[in-house]
Amino acid sequence: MKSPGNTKHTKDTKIKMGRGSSVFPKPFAVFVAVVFFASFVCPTERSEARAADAAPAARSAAHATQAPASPSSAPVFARDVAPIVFEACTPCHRQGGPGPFSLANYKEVRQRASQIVKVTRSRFMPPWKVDPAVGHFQGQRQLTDAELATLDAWVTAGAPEGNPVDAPALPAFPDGWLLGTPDLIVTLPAPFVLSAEPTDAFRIFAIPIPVGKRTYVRGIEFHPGNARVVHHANIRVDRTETSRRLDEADPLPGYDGLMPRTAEYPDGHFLGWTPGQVAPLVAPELAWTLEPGSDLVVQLHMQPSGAVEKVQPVIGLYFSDRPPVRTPSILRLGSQGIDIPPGEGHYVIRDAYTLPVDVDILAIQPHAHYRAKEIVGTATFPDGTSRRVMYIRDWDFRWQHVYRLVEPLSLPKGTTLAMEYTYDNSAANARNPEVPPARVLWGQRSKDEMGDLWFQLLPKNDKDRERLNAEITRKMIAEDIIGYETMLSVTPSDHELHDDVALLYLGTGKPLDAVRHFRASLDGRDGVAPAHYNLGTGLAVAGQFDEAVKHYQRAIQLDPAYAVAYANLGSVLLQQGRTRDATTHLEKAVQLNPQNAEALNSLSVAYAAEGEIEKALATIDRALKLNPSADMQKLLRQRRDLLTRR
Amino acid sequence: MFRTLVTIVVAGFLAAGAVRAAPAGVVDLDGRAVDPLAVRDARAHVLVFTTTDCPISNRYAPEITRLAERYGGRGVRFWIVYPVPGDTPEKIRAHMSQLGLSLPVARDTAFTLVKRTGVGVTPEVAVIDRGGEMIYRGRVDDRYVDFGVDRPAPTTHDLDQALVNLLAGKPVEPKTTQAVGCILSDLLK
Repeated sequence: MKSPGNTKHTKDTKIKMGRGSSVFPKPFAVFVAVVFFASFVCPTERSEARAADAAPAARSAAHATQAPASPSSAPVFARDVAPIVFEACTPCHRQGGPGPFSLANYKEVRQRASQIVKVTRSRFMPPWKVDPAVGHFQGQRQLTDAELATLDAWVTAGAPEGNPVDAPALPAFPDGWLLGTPDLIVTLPAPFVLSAEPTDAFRIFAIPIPVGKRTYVRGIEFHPGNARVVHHANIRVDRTETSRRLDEADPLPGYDGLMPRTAEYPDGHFLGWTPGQVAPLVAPELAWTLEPGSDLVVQLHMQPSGAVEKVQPVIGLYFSDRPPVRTPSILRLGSQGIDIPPGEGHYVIRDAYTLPVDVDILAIQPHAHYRAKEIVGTATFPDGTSRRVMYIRDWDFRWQHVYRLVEPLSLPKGTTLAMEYTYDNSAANARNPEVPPARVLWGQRSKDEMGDLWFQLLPKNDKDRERLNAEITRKMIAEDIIGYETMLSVTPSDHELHDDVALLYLGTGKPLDAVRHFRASLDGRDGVAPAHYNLGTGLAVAGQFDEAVKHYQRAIQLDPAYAVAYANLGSVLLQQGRTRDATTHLEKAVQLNPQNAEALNSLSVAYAAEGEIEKALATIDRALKLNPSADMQKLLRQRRDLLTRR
Repeated sequence: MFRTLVTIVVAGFLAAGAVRAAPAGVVDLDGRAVDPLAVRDARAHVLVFTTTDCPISNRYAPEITRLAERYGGRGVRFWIVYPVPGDTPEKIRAHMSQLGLSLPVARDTAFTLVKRTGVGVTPEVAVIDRGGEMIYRGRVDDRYVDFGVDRPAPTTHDLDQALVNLLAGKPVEPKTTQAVGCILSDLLK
């Protein structure tokens, strides 16, 4: 016997809650055209060639030869400073670049000389947070101590120009698409208007990707549209309509709030953007699958400029002509039980996971908010030796890089990946958003706190990947549930949180916990049809059919066009042996939504139970014509064979 | 590092004091000589030093507008001072329009006002009273702690407090604070 509830529909339905049950999606204008615009990327960064071979020690040596040999030969711009600035600063600090001012010639650099020394010495610039001893990452831009000394000595000497003929040529900074002409370009139908204040602003946009068939993607190139204010982008893919409906519910472009759980990293690929980062295309063997109807979900972190600004990011997608052969996995380590007392200057979270299979680390992304100070990630190998894979001494929420390894790091089965983050919730932490400091718990809003260390891991084969994913998913959902319970301890009557965590409990085979949360969600909302529908579904999965029927009936009473409620009610009645009532409700369900293959399947079961074999077979054929999932097709065909043999 | 530089450059002006001599080369957007240090028909002048391309300075535009509106009716006149020679009248007009600023402007490309007041960065403010005394110089508030380190909201509103005290006839303390922003000292070399 199959499970009676169409539980997969609860997620989609949930979004109606609190937004009325008759939200008609407004038509989405999508501009798919070549858009001409100024590029706001820093193309050469530290060039790949340099990044690949430049161990920090080697770079020190290279520049040490250019540093002053004696006090009498003070560094000059042309010979000593320009090579550093043109490579480390100018890619962003140039006309049309994302840096706020240009550093492309002697005059411009001299005007900022003291400031350059100050911000490089403090390592605020170039923005690169990871300790150089940890490893080598794509796009790494970090000045060596020798380079810092050269800059310092130059300013002390009065910032002389030297002989201009000694200066290297300014590198070419190509504008436009650095990864080549995209196969598809998407943007917002209209710009978002950002106000002049405050310090940090966040906005989420669901951008439809108009592909007519399953497509394989090798990468994206993100152009912020307004580099003065766009500070970083967190990008996911939502294969459901959830994000789109959240966006549509806000009359302005995008919406405030959080990304839903359905917005995911596609097939184990990070998609984020920070200034100066252009993730290279992955090999076609590693492409990710884009299903028709998916949306790119882009969360922009913006720093208002003091003026009202228009923001309209543009994203190019690059396709592959064939399906991938290997798919990475994403492991998230971290704690969602964070609870830091006010004034606590040294709060530590830890997490670890031992790999069941061999993997390569492709990329690492740390994530935390304003109170995090130190970020440590380690790998401990089966022989007991260990090494750091991530270390940030002074975490800055503003620089959310994805760190992609130049050479993947191979980890044998039995290696333990671990994270340890330290937080400062005292007044001594100037970034603390609460003054005076207040208790802070885990949560996704920037004023809450988080602590995640994400790993992109490439297993050797599909079998290993399935094993890894099964374990990782279990681990991450268990942590997610802790996160929801943490948030509910702060806002116990937040029905959306109750709905979300109930869905997780349902997915992990804990229907009684799901029922507990769906009940809490329904509390005080007797007139909300989807709330009854959700509780009915939880009860149905828990086997409490009588009460489930009551809630489905109430949902239908409140919303007589609630197709999926008829479908699930029919399925439950079928379970109870009430085939006549089941037939009536399932017929209504498929009349309201002829595209529901699950409901058609249930209806065919009901017909068969009533002895109406011809109707049952016709209904199975209707369901098969909808081209449902492979599992459903298999089930339908088996049942048709069975019925035909009768 | 920075503190040292400024101290060297403006050692004679660090302490608040008299700044009475007429400023040379200070002009408005039409090239007419102006003197923001001479306070006539007003209780005080606030000189707000800025450039067209300093991001920290730009982010203070809404706060400057608020303070200018709050104190404008009480005899306090705000000036926006642009010391960078490359900030032409055209650039300045576009800059002010973009930020929604409509306040009197002084171009200070000979750095006369910079040197007289001793400001080291943008944004930095100097408050001049009717006697020509500089009664406050420094930050607008403590939102910025350092480059890349800023508070979500300021915990002290130094300029605001200085004006409150001035208008109440009370002494202004502290007379100077450390501003964080784009360093001006390289312009003076």
